Amino acid sequence: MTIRLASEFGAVLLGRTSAEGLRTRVERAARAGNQHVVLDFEGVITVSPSFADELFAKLDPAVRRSGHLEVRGMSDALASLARFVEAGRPSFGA
Amino acid sequence: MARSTSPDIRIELSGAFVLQQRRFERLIRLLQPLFDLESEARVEVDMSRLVAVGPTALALLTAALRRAADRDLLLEGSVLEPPRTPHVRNYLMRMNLLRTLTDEILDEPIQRHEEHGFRPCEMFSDDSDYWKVSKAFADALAESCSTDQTARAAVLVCLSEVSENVVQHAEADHGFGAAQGWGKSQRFEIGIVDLGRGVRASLTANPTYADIQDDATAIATALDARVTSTPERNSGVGLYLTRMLLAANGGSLLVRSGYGAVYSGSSDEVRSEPDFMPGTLVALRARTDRPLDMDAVYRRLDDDHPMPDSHDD
Repeated sequence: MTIRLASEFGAVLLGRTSAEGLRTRVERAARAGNQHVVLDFEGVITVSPSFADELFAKLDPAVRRSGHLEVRGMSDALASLARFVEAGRPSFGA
Repeated sequence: MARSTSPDIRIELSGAFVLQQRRFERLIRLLQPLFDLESEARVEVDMSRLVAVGPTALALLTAALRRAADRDLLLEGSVLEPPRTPHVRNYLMRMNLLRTLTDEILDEPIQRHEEHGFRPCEMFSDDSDYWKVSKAFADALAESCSTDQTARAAVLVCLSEVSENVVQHAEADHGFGAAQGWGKSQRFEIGIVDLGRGVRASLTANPTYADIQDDATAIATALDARVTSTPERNSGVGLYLTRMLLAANGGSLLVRSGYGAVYSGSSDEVRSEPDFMPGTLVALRARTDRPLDMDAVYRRLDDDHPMPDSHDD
């Protein structure tokens, strides 16, 4: 399953609520039958901190470690933000 | 209720209310009777000598009047005396000061055009509408200041973070926002105001910050990275990154709540003020002749917040 974020959410990804729905979808898909999930950031200009926190920092660590989630087309800046918010929730990454 | 048993309140708003700290202090002081209003009263707000009002001041004035109206505290005969200066009066009408206060159809002596370069004062209440307000303001600023895609995205991110804070932390009925761009001077200002519980009451709900004793310290603390009243839900980085963005741009951020004020701009000030601001006022001002780039802020995070050793294992 490939989720093209810019197509679904627009070029600027905003809001904790929409990110929460997306994370739930990703986790369900990755858990169900070990489906490979691709998050495609192509066309995304930037992401709000709350969206990044909800999507990356709260992501089920088991899903993250499973190898079933692939992130494509994410800029260095957004990768830096993702690391920053993940570091703020060490318990989630444990 | 008979007029003789109710307090009569007269508020005179004269001169200019623009983004300079002392001007906001004057407005906050003048609006105290409205903030304190607990029982019905005949209220007169005289704006006849008003000569200029910025978007943040407008959002604050609208919030104060709307709260009194929502609580049915304005007795019949309450008056909003319009500015004598036609362009100020017309500006307030276009920004929907009156329309925000009443459901009645108003007879307005102005021709309304398609909104371009500005958006009226907007009210938002929950997750379903705060981002729409953020988007409307970002669009308005792109129109008036010819901001590029990167700057528009940065404005959108900041606004969504600040207005999301209102929805998730303020415990307010509504948030109010207003925005104005000045193409010639290459500046814009956005104000987001709520009359909720304020920064200190929100932050001290988190036991980590329960011993914060004053509003100024609470605001200064809330502007640090990873400080939030609800760490299980929120990350506490939105205001921090907004401040970084505006500092890099040469703009400024003012947060006023309770008796506290924190101004972050060409100089940083943390101060206590004599008058009480119920809820929280956030004013963002940026330059459009300089980069406004959220990704540039994000790229600095690795250097500013290096990973603990354990993450390198």
